[in-house]
Amino acid sequence: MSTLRVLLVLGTLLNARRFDAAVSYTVTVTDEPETTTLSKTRQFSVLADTGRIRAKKLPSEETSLVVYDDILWTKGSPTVALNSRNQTWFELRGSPFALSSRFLTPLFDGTANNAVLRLDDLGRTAGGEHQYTGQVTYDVYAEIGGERVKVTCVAAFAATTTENIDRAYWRGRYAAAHGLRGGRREILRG
Amino acid sequence: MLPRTGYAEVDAKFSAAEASMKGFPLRLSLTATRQFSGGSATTNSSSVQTTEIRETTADDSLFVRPTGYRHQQPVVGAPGP
Repeated sequence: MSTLRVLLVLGTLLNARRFDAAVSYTVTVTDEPETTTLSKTRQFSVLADTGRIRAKKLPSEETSLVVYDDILWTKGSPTVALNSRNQTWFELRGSPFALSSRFLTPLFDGTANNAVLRLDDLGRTAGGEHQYTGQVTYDVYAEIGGERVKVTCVAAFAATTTENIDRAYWRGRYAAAHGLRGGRREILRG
Repeated sequence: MLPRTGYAEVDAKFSAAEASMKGFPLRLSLTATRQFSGGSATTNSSSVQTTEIRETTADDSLFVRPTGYRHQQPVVGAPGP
C-alpha cells in the first residue's frame, strides 16, 4: 500500500463520526405550586446512551426567558447547561427533569431527624411495567436567629417503570437547591 | 428517579428505596407538604412523564460542548423600582 493510500485511510478513520446505540425520549415535567391553581410545564427532548445525555429544552409559551436551552451530561461529570442564543455555558446542579419539590428542603442549614420511608411494590404487569407507591416523613431542625425552628415534611410518591429499557438511559437525579438559609429570619417571621 | 433533599438521613432512605425499584421511569408523581412549627401546612405537587421512547443512534459530537461557547453563570435578578 502506498504512503498516500495509508494517509488517506488514516484520514478517513480520523474523520469518521462515531455513532453509538442510544435511546430518545420526551420528558414532561409539571409543577403545581401551592399558591396558584396554574400549573407550570416544561418539556425536554432527550437523547441518551448509557453514559451520556443531551436534553433539549422544548420552547414554551409560558415564558420568553431562556436561561438555557440544552443540557449535556457525561457520567462522572457535572451537568452543563448551554444557552445557544448567547453561546454560553454553565454548570447546572442535578437534573431539571428529576422529581423534586422545594418543600422537601425547607431549611438549607438544617438537619433531618426521625426519617421514615415506606415503599410498596404493587407488582408487575404482563407488559413488564412495575408500579410503586411510597411515603416519607421527617422533621428538619435549624437554628435561625438564635431560635430553634422545626419543620415537618411529608411526601407521597408514586412511580410506574418499565423493565423494557435500561435505567442507565435515565438522568433524573436531583440535587437539592432550595430552602431557606439560616439568618433569613425575616422570611420565617414574615 | 426519587427526589433528593440534601439531608443525608433522608437521602440515604431515598437511595435505598430507589435501588430496590426496577426499570426505567415512565411516570413519577410527588406530593410534598411542609409545616413550620406553629404554622399551617402547605402542599405542592409535581409529576414527570416519559413518552415517545425510541431506540436510535447517537452521534458522538452531540454530547460535546460546542466550540466557541464561553463560560457565564446566568444572571438572575428582579427589576428595579
